[in-house]
Amino acid sequence: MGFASVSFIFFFLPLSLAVYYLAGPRGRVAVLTAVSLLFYFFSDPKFLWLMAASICLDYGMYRLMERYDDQNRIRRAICVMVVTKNAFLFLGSSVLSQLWGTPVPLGIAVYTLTSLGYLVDVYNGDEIYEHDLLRFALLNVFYGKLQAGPLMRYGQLREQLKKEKYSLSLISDGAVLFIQGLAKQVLLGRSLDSLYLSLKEIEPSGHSMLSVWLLTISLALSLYFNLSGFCDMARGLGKMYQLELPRNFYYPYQSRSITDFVGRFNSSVTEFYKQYIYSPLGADRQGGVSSVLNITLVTLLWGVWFGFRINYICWALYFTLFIFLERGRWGRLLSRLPVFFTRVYTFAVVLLSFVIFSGRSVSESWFYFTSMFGMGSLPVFNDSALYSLASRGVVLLLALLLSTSAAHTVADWCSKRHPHLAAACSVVFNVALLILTLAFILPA
Amino acid sequence: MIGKRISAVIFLVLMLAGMAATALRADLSSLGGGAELLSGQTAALAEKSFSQALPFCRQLRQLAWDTRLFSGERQADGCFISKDSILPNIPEASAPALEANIEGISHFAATNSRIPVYFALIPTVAAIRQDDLPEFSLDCVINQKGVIESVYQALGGKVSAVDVYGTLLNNNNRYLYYRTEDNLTAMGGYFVYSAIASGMGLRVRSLGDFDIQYARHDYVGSLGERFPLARVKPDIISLFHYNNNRRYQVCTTLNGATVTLDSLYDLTRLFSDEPMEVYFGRRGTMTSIRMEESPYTQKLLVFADDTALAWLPILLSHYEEVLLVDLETATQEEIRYLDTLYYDQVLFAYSTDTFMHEDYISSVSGN
Repeated sequence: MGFASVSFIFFFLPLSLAVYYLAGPRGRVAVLTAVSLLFYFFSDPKFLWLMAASICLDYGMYRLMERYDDQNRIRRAICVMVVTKNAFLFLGSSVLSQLWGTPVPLGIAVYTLTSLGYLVDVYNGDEIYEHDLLRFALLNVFYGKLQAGPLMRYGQLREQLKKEKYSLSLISDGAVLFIQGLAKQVLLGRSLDSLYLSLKEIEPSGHSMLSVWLLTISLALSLYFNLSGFCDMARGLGKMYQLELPRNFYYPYQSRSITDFVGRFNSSVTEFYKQYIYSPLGADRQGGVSSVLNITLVTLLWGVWFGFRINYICWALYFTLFIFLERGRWGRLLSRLPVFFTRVYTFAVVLLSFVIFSGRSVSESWFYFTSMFGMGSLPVFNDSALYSLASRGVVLLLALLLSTSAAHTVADWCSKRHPHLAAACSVVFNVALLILTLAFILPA
Repeated sequence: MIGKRISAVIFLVLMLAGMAATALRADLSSLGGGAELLSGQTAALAEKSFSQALPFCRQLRQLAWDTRLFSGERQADGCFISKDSILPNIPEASAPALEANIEGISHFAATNSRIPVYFALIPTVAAIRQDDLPEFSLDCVINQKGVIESVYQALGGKVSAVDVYGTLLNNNNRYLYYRTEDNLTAMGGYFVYSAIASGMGLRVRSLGDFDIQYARHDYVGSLGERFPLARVKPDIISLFHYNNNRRYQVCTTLNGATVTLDSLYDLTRLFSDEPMEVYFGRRGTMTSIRMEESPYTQKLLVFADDTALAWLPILLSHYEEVLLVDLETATQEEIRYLDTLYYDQVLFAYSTDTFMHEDYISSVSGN
């Protein structure tokens, strides 16, 4: 069961909301944890045991750490064990999937990294020991964020769970955010994904310059609309349950530098790595080789989030190169250039990075790269490229437009100038979006 | 903020109303029991059941379909959707299947060298009605003409190849293929017949020699059922009659049981669940068709797929007796005991789709 399903929208969600609000503030943690486990059971029953075992083991380890709070060696040993276990689960599942095609357990990256972050916080004394297993479990397995994040720290959740009063505006914000996230994923993400996959199936000799450009653009946009759609749904669901989850995507394709892009694209993951790896390693305070290694490590892990593949690693290294360039003269020059130019530069660099991301091997990526600039023997365009453009051109254009904040800016402007009209329009728009998305969810 | 509040209220009302209406209409018993729950199938079963029971689901599906077409999409589940028909696009040829089929027919021709063997590959609609394909989609369609030529070349000298492609292409403005079924119409069958008859040295009868009976005007074939929202006009089932005084005896054998029919067309099947069974009745492994008091003496052995339903009723008018063999369901024993010497001619006729992707034709070699 995914979010984009009739059983989720018309049964699981309303029933879980009803039980949640009937349970009242005291029972909310237990209900939400149970609902999350039930969602996992319906979505990926094979790996429910793995998630439950991982969380119970981590909980046991924290309690053990608390017991030996005054013995640093034991605490360190426990810390190393938990970090190793979670890192092994996170990376191991990805490696197994690459090598043998085994399915990646739902949310494994989210719950292992969240638990790992909490351990580091507790070890450093930045966070209290959580005695309530249900609260600890909820932090890790809240079902809204299992699909694609965002990652959150325990500190961001703890205070919210103490709230006694429910906010109606949070529920309405959440419902709208959920509808918009669902529409992003179903109407744009899926369509762009199928365009990308159809272009990916073309034999190298059947490609043209145009088809390789389309392949790259469709991948960049489908990744954005799928991931940000899931994250918006997670945030919307969170709000409906009175929880605020961090934003994960801030219009990354209108970033003004690559450093800015890394901070806007899957930003909760970037923040997580900065907090738990980059800063403890000394960030760039020591300068020189240490600084280079720290930035490289964090960017590499940022790339590995998508899977443990040579192309993803190269993709991350490509960004590292530009981050270093921007730390020097190039960065200073960029800061003086007009916004339009810096945005075009960043979009071009990011778009080219998806050539690396899309290849199944380095040589395939190189083929795409050379073809994009007419360095191979491919024609500028052919019928299959024009057919792809004709059949998905409207979706591509719409996606390009919606990947910027233009629509948001126009909506804001309208609501300031004509608040009543804007409110009426937003109701019509959201309801229409919901109906259209429902139509696309149903099997043809 | 008020806009968001109203949107949220509408969303919540829709969720609750949708839940209540779907729960009342859904077949909850189809969700299975404990075994399905533990094996993780319940979610999939629930989704299927709820999707069918959701109020206005047909209108919603139609909305999605129309939106896709409006945005420029013209392909779904391996088929092109044009303004008035559904055109299946066949995948790349399977080299092992092609090789096995060519080998099988070559072996058959070599072991039955005393009988003339004819061979026809019949292109599918995507190769003939290219004007109906979406713009720029030709690269997505395989070159059937090239495949046909290479197969004919591989069988060169062993069988007499019949060019059906050219005849169909020259008449592609006619109603040659069903709009909602992946097969030739009776009119398409006539042009395939004319090519085959000409290739076999028979005198081709003109269209005017036949009485055409338009038996059903609302036929929706398997493609139409697969894409119920495609807004494609239903098809017409027509029956060609050469000489109304001629009487035929059709014997169909399947799994040892034989059914006899006193006509080429079983009109009782016309409005059944399988209207295509109007041609020769229920399809069997062996269909023997004998013309009573025939002015002809020639006997024909035919190995063919479902395309035969379109052209064989017309070709029959030249023979005293015809045996149609379906190699897909025939056992090795049935093939081995075929008395090929009883026949004067042998004809293999398959659609390119069948020949390129199914290797059962190779079983004709008897190995």
